[in-house]
Amino acid sequence: MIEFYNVNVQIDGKYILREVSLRILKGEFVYLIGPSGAGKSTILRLIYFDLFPQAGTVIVDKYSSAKIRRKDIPYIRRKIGVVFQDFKLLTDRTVYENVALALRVTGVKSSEIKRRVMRILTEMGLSQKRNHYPQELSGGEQQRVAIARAVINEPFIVLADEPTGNLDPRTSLEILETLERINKKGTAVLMATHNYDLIRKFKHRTIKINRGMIV
Amino acid sequence: MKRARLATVIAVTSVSLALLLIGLFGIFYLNMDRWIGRLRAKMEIEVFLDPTVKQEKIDQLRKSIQQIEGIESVQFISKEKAAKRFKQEFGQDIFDIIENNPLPPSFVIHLKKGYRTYMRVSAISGQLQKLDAVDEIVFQKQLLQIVDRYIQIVYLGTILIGLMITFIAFVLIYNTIRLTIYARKDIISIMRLVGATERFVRRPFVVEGMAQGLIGAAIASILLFYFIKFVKTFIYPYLATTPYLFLILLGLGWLLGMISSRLSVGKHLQNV
Repeated sequence: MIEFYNVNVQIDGKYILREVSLRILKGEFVYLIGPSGAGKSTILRLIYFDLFPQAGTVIVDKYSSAKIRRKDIPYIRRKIGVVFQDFKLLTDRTVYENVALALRVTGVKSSEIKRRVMRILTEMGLSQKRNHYPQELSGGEQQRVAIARAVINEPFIVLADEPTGNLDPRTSLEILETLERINKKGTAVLMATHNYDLIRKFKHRTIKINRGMIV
Repeated sequence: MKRARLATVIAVTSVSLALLLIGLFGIFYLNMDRWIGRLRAKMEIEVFLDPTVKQEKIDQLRKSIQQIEGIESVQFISKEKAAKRFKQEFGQDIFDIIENNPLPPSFVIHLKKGYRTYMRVSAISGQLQKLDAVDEIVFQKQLLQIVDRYIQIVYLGTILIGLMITFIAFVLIYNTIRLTIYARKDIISIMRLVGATERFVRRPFVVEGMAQGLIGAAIASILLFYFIKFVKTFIYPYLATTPYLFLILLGLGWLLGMISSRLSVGKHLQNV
């Protein structure tokens, strides 16, 4: 489903990734671990085609980094959920609106949007916070809003880039449990992290990366 | 966001100012054109004849004059009629001043529309001069010259000023959209992240530009409407206007907003 073949990424002449090959299967849960600056975020950005390799090929679903057209990118992104360390929520919009945005841009009818957003917020235990603004929520709640936004389009994979980086250990575990639950329903999860304690709680395949290379 | 909002207010204000000025120039043009048209219509060429000319010759002359291109009407003014006209114009009988009528017979010629310019009138006058028994040709040479020479300058100047102001409004909308794009860069990147097409991302900015243009045009139309009302009530009731002017302003505002925001979006959205 996701395949990297000898991927090289250079920025300003410096290698960020070197000869990276990897494969993530349908419905799999994979940790991507390594120190800061190892190239974890770069791998995630390659998957949602925010970045293209200088050499090698990235294949996601039926799209290849070598052949994908600019106008196809929005459509593949609808099938990929992305979650960040800093949540990336819009501070001038409510929880409801933040989640609904992901459906609005795909042209879903507003009655349908309402139904689906309410369902996902309930699943995330956020329905009573729907009219709050992000800054009124705790870090864990904000990250759950971000996860809700990432999964509302029913993606085949959720990419989580240090999702627990800003959270305390207990909240981190809750977030991991949430991702675990999403994975149980068949969605693949690729979680980049350097929190080695946390990933011992739920064992999954781990890809280690250091200085741009798989180790 | 505040900066973008202020910029919006400035852009809308400048659009309305630009379009108001264009509207005012439009009214000015309409009235100027009507006034000059009337001036030209009143314009006549007087062809004074040799006082001793015979009736036969007069008939022959009339025919020759009528054959000249651009002549609308030819009227013969006999010595007697000339005296009457003199009395009408000056309120005094010519015979009170001198004993015998010194006024020569003449033809009064009106020209067709399009022949009432200085160049054409001069050409026709030259042709008339060549006819037999023609003594002198009189027309409002200077007035025509002034009108013809300066009206071009006035119109050209008007168009140039209008274009300049429109350009300024264009730059302001362009810049407002640029500011709005940067103010909303967060939402733009999130929209792209969750799979919005570029068209979808772009649309609100273009709509906003068009709205700015249209709102500016609406304000300009309202101001212009009251300006017209004011002038008609207190200054000049015969002011020429046309409802098309408002339609033109709205169309221009819409176009201005659309073009400038499209260009701005095309230039700046990719940098966000």
